[in-house]
Amino acid sequence: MFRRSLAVKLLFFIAVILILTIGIFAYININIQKKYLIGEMQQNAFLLSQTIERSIKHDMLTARSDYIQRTLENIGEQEGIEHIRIFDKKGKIIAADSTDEIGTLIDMQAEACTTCHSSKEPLKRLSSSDRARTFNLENGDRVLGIINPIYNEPQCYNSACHFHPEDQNVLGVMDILISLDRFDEQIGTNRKQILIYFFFTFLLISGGISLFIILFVNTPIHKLIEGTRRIAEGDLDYRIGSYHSNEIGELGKSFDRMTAKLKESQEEIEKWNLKLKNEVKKATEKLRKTNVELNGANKKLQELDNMKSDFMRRMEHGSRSHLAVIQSCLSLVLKEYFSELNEQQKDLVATAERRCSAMLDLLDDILILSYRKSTEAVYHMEPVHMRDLVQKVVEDIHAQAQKRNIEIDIQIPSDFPRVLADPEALKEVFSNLLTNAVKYTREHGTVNVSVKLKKGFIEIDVQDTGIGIASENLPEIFSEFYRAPNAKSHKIEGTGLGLAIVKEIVEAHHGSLKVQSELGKGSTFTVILPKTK
Amino acid sequence: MKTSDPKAKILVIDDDPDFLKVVSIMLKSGPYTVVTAKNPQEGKEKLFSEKPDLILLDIMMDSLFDGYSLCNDIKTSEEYEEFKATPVIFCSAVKDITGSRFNFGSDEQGLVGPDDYIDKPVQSDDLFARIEKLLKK
Repeated sequence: MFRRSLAVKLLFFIAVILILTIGIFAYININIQKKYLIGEMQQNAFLLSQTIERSIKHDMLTARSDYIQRTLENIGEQEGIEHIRIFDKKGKIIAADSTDEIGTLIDMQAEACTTCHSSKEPLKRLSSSDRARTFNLENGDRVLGIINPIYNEPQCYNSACHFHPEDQNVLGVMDILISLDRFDEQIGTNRKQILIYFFFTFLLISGGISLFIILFVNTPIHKLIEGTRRIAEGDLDYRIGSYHSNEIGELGKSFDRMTAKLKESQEEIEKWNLKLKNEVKKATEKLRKTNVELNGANKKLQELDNMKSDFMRRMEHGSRSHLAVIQSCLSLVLKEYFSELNEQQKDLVATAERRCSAMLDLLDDILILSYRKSTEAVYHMEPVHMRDLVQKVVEDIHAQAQKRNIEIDIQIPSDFPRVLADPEALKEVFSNLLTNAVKYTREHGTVNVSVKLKKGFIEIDVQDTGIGIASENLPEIFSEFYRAPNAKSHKIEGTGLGLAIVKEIVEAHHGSLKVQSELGKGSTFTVILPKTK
Repeated sequence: MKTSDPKAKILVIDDDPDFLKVVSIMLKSGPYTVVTAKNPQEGKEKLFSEKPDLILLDIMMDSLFDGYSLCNDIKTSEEYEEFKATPVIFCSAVKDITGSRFNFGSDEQGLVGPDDYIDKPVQSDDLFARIEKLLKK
């Protein structure tokens, strides 16, 4: 983490830059100082040399070499002056602060002499900078040597001793060696001072910047980081609180505002949440109550339905018991077991028996319709083979049909797709439709059963060549107890419930009915049922 | 007796006296003799005393259970051992509409049912055919 800290990186970066810049500055400074000091020192040395020359000039002019020697010895004892000697133009030391050197010849190739004597022809003039050279003595001391050529002047070649000819350019060389100890010391001190200043500057700047970063950047940023962490944990009450008056401070203020807003939103959401919970609770309670009510109502309905079924059963039992006895009595009389009947008696008894039969049929139909309409009715759906089913129905009514020479034609292919239906209920439907078809068709008529496959549906048509239904009567044809006027007028018996039963069953199968008819020509009843998947 | 004796004896148990009257006439017009009883208790007595060849038992609403239990007893109980083979036809004034016999829950109770059913009103040819079928067994 420390390595990744922005502050540390910044500090490091600044430190490097500071070291470089201040370092370079210090270095340049030291060098310039050095150069300047050297220059100054050389100049001073040169002036000193000149001064010494002046001081012995008179003695040279008056050829007082012992005075010159004494002066040189004196000067040689001066602190800072290592060595002072005068060479003649041949290189022989004629005067020096150490007497044992006098008379020795120095090598013209020595470093002191090379400045002028390096070339074949020695230089006639020497610039001031060339006169100085720095070198180390045998004992290691650093010295500055100044070469001061003594030029021939009119005063010299016109002097009383007549020692030097006029054409001589340089009469000799004064060589002073000045100790650089003090100078070096100064330089060293200087350098040390600069380095110390450099170091402290560096420390100061770095420290200052560090402090600045810590105070104004690091601390606020850590507070912000802490803040975001707290908020992420869900503590929306955390505030930074105090801010500096700068951009980061602004960020802090903004952050606190944002947190406050978040808290507001959160509280708002909680409020709505609570409200929602409450509403849901209320609604659930309401739903529960409604459910209880519905269950109660359902139970009641079921009870009522059961009561009705029970009632119907008892009604049936009573009715049928009476009718059974009535019919048996009439039929026994009609069979003439006891005595013969006259025509009128026979007719009346026959009429009574016929009506008794009709009553039983009506009872049957009422019970069937009541059952089909009740919740008791159960449909066990299965794939039904239409041809087989219709064939069975036709077998049952075959006798009636034959009696009146009515032909029933089944046009259903054996491999026709099966219909999803309750077989018993479907049989009931076609029993009714076919019985009707035969009942309402004249002698030698035809009844035709055919099928059509539509998209997802099956259509079964029962067509007859019977008395037909008038268009104004068609809408009522499926109504309970309805009998069309022409049915009654043709004296055809019926309960008026057959088609109502058919409708009830077909609708329970999620199917529908269609009827087409022409009065006097015939009718076609169509049952539409969903196809098995 | 198992043979179709011309004078086979039929025991008719029904609480409707008029029905007993007409059924008796119907059966007597055929090759049968008739014994009647008003309720299952009397029916049991007549069974033991008259030993009929076939029993025509009405499922009366008021004594439903008695009718069913009598049939079950005849067929399964030790007491009725000698009558075990006697055929029983239930006669009902409640027709089956749904295609499955409405038996007032007797199936759940595991009672043994009759050999045949006939609905009221009873037609003589239908009744005779069923009786003959059972007597021939």
